[in-house]
Amino acid sequence: MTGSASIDAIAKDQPSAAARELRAHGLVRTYPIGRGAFGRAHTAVRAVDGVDLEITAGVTVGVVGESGSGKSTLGRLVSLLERPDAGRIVLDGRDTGRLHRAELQELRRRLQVVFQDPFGSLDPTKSIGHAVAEPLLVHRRVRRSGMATAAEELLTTVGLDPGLARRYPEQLSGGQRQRVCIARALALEPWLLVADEPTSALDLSTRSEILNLLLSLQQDTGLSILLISHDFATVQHLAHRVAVMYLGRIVEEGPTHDVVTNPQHPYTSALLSAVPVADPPRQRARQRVVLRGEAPNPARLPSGCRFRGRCRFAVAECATTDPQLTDLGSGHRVACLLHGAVGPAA
Amino acid sequence: MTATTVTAPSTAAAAPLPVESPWRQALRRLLRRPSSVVALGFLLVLIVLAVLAPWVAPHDPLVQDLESSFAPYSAQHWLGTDDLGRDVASRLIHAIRLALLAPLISVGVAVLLGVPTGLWAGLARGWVDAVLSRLADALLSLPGLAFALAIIAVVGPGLANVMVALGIVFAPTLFRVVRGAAMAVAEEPFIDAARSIGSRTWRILWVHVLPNVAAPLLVQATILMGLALLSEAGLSFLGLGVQPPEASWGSMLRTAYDNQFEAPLAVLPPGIAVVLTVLAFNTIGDAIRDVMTARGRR
Amino acid sequence: MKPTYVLTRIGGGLVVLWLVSLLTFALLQLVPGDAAQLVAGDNASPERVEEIRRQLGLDQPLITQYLSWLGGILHGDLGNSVFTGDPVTAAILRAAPATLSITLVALIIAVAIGVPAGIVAGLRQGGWIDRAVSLLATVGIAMPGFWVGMLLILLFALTNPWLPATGYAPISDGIGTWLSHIIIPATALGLATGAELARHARGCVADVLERPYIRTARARGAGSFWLIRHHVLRNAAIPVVTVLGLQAGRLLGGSIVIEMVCGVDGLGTLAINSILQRDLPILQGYVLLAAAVVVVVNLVVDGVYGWLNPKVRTS
Repeated sequence: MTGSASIDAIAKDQPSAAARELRAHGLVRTYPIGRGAFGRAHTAVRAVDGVDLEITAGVTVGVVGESGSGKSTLGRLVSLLERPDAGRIVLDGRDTGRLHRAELQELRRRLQVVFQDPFGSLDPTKSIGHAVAEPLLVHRRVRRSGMATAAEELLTTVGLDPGLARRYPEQLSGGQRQRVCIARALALEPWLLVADEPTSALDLSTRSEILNLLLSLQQDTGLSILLISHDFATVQHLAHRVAVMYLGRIVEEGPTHDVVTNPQHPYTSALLSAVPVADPPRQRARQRVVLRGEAPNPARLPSGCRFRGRCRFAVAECATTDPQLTDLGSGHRVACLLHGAVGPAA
Repeated sequence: MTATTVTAPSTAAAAPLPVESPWRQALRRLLRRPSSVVALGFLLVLIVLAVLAPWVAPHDPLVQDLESSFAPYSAQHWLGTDDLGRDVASRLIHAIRLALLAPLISVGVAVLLGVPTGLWAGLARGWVDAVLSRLADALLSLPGLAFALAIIAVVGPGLANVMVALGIVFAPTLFRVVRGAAMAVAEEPFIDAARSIGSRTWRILWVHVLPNVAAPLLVQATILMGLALLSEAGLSFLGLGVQPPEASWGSMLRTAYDNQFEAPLAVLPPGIAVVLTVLAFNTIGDAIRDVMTARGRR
Repeated sequence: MKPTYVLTRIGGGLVVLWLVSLLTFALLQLVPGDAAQLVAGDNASPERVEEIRRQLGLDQPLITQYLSWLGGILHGDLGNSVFTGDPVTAAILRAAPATLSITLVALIIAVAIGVPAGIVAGLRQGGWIDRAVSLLATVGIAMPGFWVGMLLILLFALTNPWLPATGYAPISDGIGTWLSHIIIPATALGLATGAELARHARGCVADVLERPYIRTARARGAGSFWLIRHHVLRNAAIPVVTVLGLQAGRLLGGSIVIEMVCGVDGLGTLAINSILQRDLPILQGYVLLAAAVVVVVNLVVDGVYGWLNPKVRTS
């Protein structure tokens, strides 16, 4: 983290003391499933069900969870692409739910998004140069004539040949495209990058390149990243803090090192045990925690703790009490009635 | 933010690929097909003839010579003369202007009406889409020519009115095509990506949605050009389109029809001209469809 | 078929017809200036203009006009011709048999020529039959129907006096007489539809032959005839039926000019004359009828489609 540089930048850029901070409180997002006559929804799924999240300058937060955990929906809410049904998102001291459209568009430049699918997230009819410099054009930072130069500079930032600016997306590889998407996201010099599974559509060798690129951006420029992934190994690599999501809720959250070495939620330890360790004797000695059954239908959640059906340690009380996040000290929080029952995964 | 250079050996090397936009690629594929080259060439010749008509045509198309009406084909009158002794070849050449202009304006009106509404309905969905789609259904249930007649009944006959009427008749077709394509494009991640950088809705429509629905739009518009020419010919034949003494291929067919006992072969030149031109439009439309869908399939 | 599906389709058709009624009604209102003056003509006396205004109901409030007009339609009363004073319904009924004859015979010709030609072309892809059919179909679509009618008259009525050049004879005059009058306009009208059908049938057969189960059947040694009988025909029928639904409007529209060329006193001629004589009630009746025919044909097509393709029934 480059502390002093970013503080200077804050002082210039932001009038309020709450600059470079994203606070989400009580986020809920519901999707209707199945429609009856007259388009009324039969049932609804709470994809995100009461989530608090805090991201500050220079801190990378990882969100881990299986598919269906609501992590992508959380990402879309934080990216301001969807509005929450309840709860609010305060970005740089401003409540995004109360802003006019023009103010919101202006605020968007502080937070940029890298999408999962580098093949679909670039317009096939636009050149790479246009894709990369378009944010600058939209926010009137450059004129149309200045786009080429700006694009070439940005492409260099992400380690691409500036000559690619004249190419079209279909002529690039997946890894190149994702670099283009990152360059585009950096164009407006945001302090926060929301990256939803930025590597899952790429092949293995390219994945580490993209992750290393994100890592060096984070280290060299103090960029904050909200990294969303199903894979603990990916998140571990980059995140200062990590949040584990299960069925729309955060079940455990804390400094990455604490959570990884001392997971408190049975679900976290199950996820961690699936991450291979690069040390054969230790890997062999490890005990693999295999989850029982499948995640319940999100439209019909069990009473009490949502995880109890798959939990080895479930007791009678789990069926009646819905556990809330409790701080264990040093910013490590867990939503489990039995925290402490689970030992380190390794 | 300070610029950081990250070296990535595997991606930095530029491949010697020719830089070509998707549009140029499609054009190149189009020009590789003999049928579309012939069709485009034919239209090009028509355009040149239309522009140079006063110099190319051997006679003034409006000058009457009642002494030599219904003259047979000859060196002086290549395609003979009509009932008023006017040179058929010259009238045919001068009428090219209308044959190209009328479809262009009709389809232009249809584009102006159908494309913005189609984009709007495709992206907004909800009640906007419901209302506009029902309206399009209603308009499409009217036989095209009957609908055009109804409009002409209101605004009166005349070439300009016919062109606008046909534009209104074709608009729902373009609306449907654009709406369907826009709905598909709206689901693409790059639309979210455009929103995430703060693009306004109109910019997204214009810069990202429209170019991506261009292929089906272009195909449909080209085919409508042919249909517009056929319809204009029919309406001018009925005397509702171009007014005498000006010539269109449709009104020339009417002259030939009215005098079919005196000069039975006069139905051939304007008719063949219509068929060839419509054929050219349709061939290009089909070719664009093949070329553009080939791109999607790759 | 699920009853809700049928009901939804019929409901949709009714909504469309209602919208068409609004549009048709709007015709009179949209006339620039005074509709009564337009209908009466430029040198009509003021009394005559007032009379027509009353006759068209233009002196009533808009909503009253529309409701009484709509009520009349529901009772089969489309108003009276401004020109002759006759009921519009009577004029339409008088003209309908000729147009109906031409359109139906055109449809028969189109299906009888287009579908077999398309199927044969599809089965013999790349062969000379295929190429000939494709070429003829492409040219057929590009030809104005009324021009084809003129050529046919030239060939079969003027140069060789085999058929009557113009006019229409009702079927009560004998099938032969009726057919001899109908055959030229019907062929002219049906040609483009036949060409369209041939293209679609060809594409569909080609598509069916590409499917894995057909290739398996062929590999098993199933004969061509068996294939056509069991798979190709049924599958090819679906798009053909769809195209027919789309062509209903085109046939009605195309008949307007062809009736004129062939001197047939049908609905098309009625419509043209109503425009030339500014007889708006007749034109309104014609437009409404044409739309109703298209809507009903498409409902029937939807029904047949659902019967041919079980997948639609449940959705």
